[in-house]
Amino acid sequence: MNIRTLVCTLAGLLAVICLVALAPRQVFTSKGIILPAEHVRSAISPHDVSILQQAPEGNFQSLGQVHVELGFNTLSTQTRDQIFQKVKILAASVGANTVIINLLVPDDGMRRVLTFIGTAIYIPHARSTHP
Amino acid sequence: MNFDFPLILLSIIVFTGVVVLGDFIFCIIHHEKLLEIKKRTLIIEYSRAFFPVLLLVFCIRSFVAQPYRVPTSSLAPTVIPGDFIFVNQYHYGVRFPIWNKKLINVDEPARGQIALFPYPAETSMTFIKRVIGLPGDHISYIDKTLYINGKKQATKFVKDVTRLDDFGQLQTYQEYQEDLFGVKHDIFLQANAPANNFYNIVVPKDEYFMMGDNRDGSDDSRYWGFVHESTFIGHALFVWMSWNSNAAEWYDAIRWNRIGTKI
Repeated sequence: MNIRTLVCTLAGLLAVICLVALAPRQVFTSKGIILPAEHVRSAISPHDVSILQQAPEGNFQSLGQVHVELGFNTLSTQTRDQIFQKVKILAASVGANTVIINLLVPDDGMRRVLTFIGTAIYIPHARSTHP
Repeated sequence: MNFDFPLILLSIIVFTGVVVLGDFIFCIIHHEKLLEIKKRTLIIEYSRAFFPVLLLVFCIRSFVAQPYRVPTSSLAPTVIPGDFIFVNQYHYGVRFPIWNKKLINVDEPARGQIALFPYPAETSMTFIKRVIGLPGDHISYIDKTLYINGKKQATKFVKDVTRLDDFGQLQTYQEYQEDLFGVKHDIFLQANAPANNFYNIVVPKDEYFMMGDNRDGSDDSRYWGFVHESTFIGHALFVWMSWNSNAAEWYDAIRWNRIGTKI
């Protein structure tokens, strides 16, 4: 290998290293939506929303379905916390003070995504109980 | 870091480009003719040969048009699994790939168009859906009928269709023609699927509400929310090839009747 080839190759490799270093890293942010029921309430603070595993006894008003998805490299409690935070924001926007978990499953197949499906409800005089 | 195909292609272009540039500088220093035919080392020879070709491929793929393969039936019956579609890459603005920075504004997504964008929850995957809601729209979905800004989007029954779904199960769909403010297109509904009604979703500024035409079998804005205007990749134009992977013989696999179908 002559000096010309060596210099050109090293310069090319250096440029590729710079390119790869500057390429954006994938950042996962939770994405979701609240599908509102016909009648909703005025928005409340996300801090006042609690998430339950099962529907509570007694009367409550259903305010919509919450769907949230979040990509991940490694499933951790941080992933779960991030998705719950988004769930609370969405539920609070329709005045729901509680969300019942219908589905919380990681898809480790083609997509590495944690999926949340829940029902946003309003329980009169509900106490805040965070999971 | 996302080692996707555009990044790999760009890396090869950068490498070959820098090698060619370095070689040109050496040519100038040594008073050689730049395009003189003479024996060079393999790396320089191959870089000189491949750089312009790869650069042309990259520019066409990134800024003009690109083929995509559709793996699922979420847009059936308009686009079916195995369809290869041709996508206009500049319709929603010329963007530099990898960084997805918009270089030139061209047009905005319009209602009824079929658009490609990164799956919002995991951006390394590309999704294809129909634009249903524009910024500021109020959208309701009641008994499997769309209402946009209070106006019912009329549907007309076409026929019953039985097909394999994405999990290899036979499913019977009801095919309807939907009139989306003048954009007429076919949709699939399933009688046994729940209605999943919702009322009065307001599409935020610069965001779009996307749905698949296979309304009961589509992972769309109803699951992961809105798509931001800045993330759209392109506008699907037509099917240039369609491959039926369930065909018994390879020579029956090409669906000739779908080639050239405008979408």
